[in-house]
Amino acid sequence: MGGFRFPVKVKNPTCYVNARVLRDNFKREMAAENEVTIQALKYIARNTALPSRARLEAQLQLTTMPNYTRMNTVKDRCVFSGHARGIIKEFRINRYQFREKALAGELPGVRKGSW
Amino acid sequence: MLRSSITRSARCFATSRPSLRGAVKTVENLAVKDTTTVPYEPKVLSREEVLDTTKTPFPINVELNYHAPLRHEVRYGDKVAEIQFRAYDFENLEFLADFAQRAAYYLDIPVSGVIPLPTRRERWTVIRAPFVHAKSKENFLRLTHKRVLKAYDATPEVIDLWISYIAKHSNAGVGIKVQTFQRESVELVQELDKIDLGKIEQFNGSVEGQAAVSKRVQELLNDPVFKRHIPEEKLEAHDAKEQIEEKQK
Amino acid sequence: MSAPTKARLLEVAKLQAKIFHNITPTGIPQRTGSKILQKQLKGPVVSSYYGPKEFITTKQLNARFPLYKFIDPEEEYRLEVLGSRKRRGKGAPAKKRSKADDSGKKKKK
Repeated sequence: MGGFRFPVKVKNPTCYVNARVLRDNFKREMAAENEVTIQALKYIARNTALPSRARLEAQLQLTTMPNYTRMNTVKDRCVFSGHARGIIKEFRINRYQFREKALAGELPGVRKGSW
Repeated sequence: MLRSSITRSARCFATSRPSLRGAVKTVENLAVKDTTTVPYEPKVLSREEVLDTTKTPFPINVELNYHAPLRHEVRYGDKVAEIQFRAYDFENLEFLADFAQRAAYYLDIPVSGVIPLPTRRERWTVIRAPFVHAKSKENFLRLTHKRVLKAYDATPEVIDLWISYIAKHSNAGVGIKVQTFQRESVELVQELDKIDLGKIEQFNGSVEGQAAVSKRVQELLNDPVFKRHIPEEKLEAHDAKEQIEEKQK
Repeated sequence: MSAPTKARLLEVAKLQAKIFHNITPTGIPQRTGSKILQKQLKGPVVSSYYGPKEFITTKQLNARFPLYKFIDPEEEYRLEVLGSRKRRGKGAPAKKRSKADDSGKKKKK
């Protein structure tokens, strides 16, 4: 039986997929799953009303959590080409894909501009 | 059933013209007396215009669509709702705003006129080719047109009815955003104080995610790993404080 | 007026803590971390970036609506290519079914 490439099994997205998209998708899933725990630990660690040993414990637990659970490791990628640069955030696509889709009239409201 | 439909049609004809008001009254009286034999006598502004196809006069509420929408006078200036329409193309948008205004008239809701808001212009300049250093660029643009309708002096039930009617007959590509306003009594704070702390769960749902985090905090603090660092009375005090904090939100 | 001394600043902090019920044994106002508690969770937005995880496939569609025939162009193309290869004798080799193969497996055990 073939092993799964990531420590935890997640569902693959239905958009364009390549290795980097899969990796990012995994990070997104994990970050979303562990978000509540991380926020709770942060709350305990930053709360000066709680005993300092409990706060230290929370901080230690935060640092021992794997890197893929952090929100800042996710990177926006183009959902049509998987490219990570020149992303237009509103549409989640790359600048070149954006141009093609806009010219084809697939992005609602977007048209060629002149000013 | 028939009775209700007649009163509704009577409502459609209700205008500020005294002569027409009288006519409406007679229709209503007829309906009360005998529900089976009601003559079809719609009152119209232009009586002479009888349609060739149906041999019936042109109904007034249809005829009104050819004129600017009628409006009720704002009496108390108590703003109860604000509807914002947004679209990338203004034709559908203007139509829906006009429709909403007319619907408000028949529901006896005084509304403002259709107020245009500043159009949002989003612009993107992208390189024409996939190559990074290509010189030639291309511009794209998206305009988001916005219109606002303000409703005054109506009960929340009527506003709900109005909004659901607009939503039901909404146009493709037009977004609707509704803000409703309701006034509370001065004693609201005292009433809120009476609420049982045990039922605090229902408030937690209002702030999304916050309940989940505070629940996890409780779990972690009650975990043996954390519990050995925390004196018993301190944990209880913290619980109570957190509950009060949530209640205030 | 000269700049306030450190002692005076501490006194102000203590007073502030007293007014806003924020007292600690040292008298310095504490951080409750409520900022973190109030923050909106962005997990659902982040995880739904690449769109839905499950999207109905042509196969599932055909199984669900047997009266209709839905065509997946990619699958059609794949089958077409496979068919043309087979016709040219370049298809996948047939599976081994000889006794020697079976016995070989047994020997390993």
